[in-house]
Amino acid sequence: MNSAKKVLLINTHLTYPNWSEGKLNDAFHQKAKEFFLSKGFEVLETKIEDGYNVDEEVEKHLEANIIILQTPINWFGAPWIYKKYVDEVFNSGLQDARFLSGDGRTREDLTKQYGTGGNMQGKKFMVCSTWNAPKASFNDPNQVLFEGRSTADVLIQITSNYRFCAADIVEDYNCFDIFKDGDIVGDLENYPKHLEKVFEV
Amino acid sequence: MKVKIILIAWLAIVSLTTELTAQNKPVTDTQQKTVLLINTHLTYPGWSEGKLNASFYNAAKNFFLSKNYKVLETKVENGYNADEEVEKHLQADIIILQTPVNWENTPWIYKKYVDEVFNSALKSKKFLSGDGRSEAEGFKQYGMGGKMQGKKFMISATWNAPEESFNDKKQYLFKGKSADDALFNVAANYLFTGFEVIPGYYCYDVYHNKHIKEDLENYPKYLKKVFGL
Repeated sequence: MNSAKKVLLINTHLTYPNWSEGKLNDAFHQKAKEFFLSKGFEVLETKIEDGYNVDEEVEKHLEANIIILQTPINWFGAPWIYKKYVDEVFNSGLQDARFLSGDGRTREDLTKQYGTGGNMQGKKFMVCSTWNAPKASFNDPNQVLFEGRSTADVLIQITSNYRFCAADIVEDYNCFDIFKDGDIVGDLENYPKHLEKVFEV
Repeated sequence: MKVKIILIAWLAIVSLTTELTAQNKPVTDTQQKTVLLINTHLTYPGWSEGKLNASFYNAAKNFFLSKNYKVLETKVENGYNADEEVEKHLQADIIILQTPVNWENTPWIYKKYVDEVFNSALKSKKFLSGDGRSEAEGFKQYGMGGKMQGKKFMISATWNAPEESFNDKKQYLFKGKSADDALFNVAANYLFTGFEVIPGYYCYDVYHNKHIKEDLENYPKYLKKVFGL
């Protein structure tokens, strides 16, 4: 009878004392936690900086219906501790075929595409990230750095692993320009509405 | 007094000679170019030993040596000093990252390297003055605060993904994106600091081993073409 849905909230902020203490990412993490608790979800949590057990992380991924990564953007990606987490957890999920059965291609059926060997069907993955980059630097071909790219285009480095394992990728949520002109209060306030919309809960 | 005159005369002759010698020497000799080759393969014993990445790395090294380049090297897995890596970046005219693609990107040790090296260069303002938007920088666009103009960056990567999974909207995983798009996060740091980013050289589908030999053979030709050497 235990039919409570589960969400896995991963916070991968990395502390740089007196420079980046993690309060903003923690605030978004807590918002998401409150939201899912209010919707009757069971909440699983991982704070990467505090350490983790790789096999337990694989199990948490298998249990979860929804997985959300909370991350600051450091040098156009998640902090390095996140890629270490991914390499370890997904390697484990690959070796025992729990996350995926292969890369999808088979000798028998040559029409099967690369990246279709995943076992995470029905699960949803989302990124919530905090940026120094301003919102105006995205989705605009006249911007020199991103040349029209969206946040999702820049975050493909992260989402493609979940897509490779057959999870659905839902629209990311972003807090921009956090050191300067960003609307942190408004972005925090609107976060639950975004979660409600994309997960239809 | 006499000593002083002799010294001045000697200095004048020396500087004149140096100038003449400099004029006679071919430009390539006086201004030897420098390339920094970074190999970020991470060893998984019995699974990924790094031979393929070492082969591409050595092909690049031999190519640049044959073009009289000074070659600086970093093997991330063997350790490094972040401040020294900043200096190597400052010295280099060309930087090439050799990487396997693990979980759709570089091994984690490379992001650690980037976070450490670029943080050091941010604090010392050696790679960039800021993100380009400050008053001191003239209120330019985000990402225009780099100081590394004139330098070039390129990725050489080995993929399990087959070539046909890219640049095709009908493909499930990349949905029309290119291999350069998939690794944009790596290039972005170099763009942000003022580098010109050269399209990557990619060896695909490495576990099926059908064209590795050709890809290795063609690599120096590609380097010759894109760097105009």
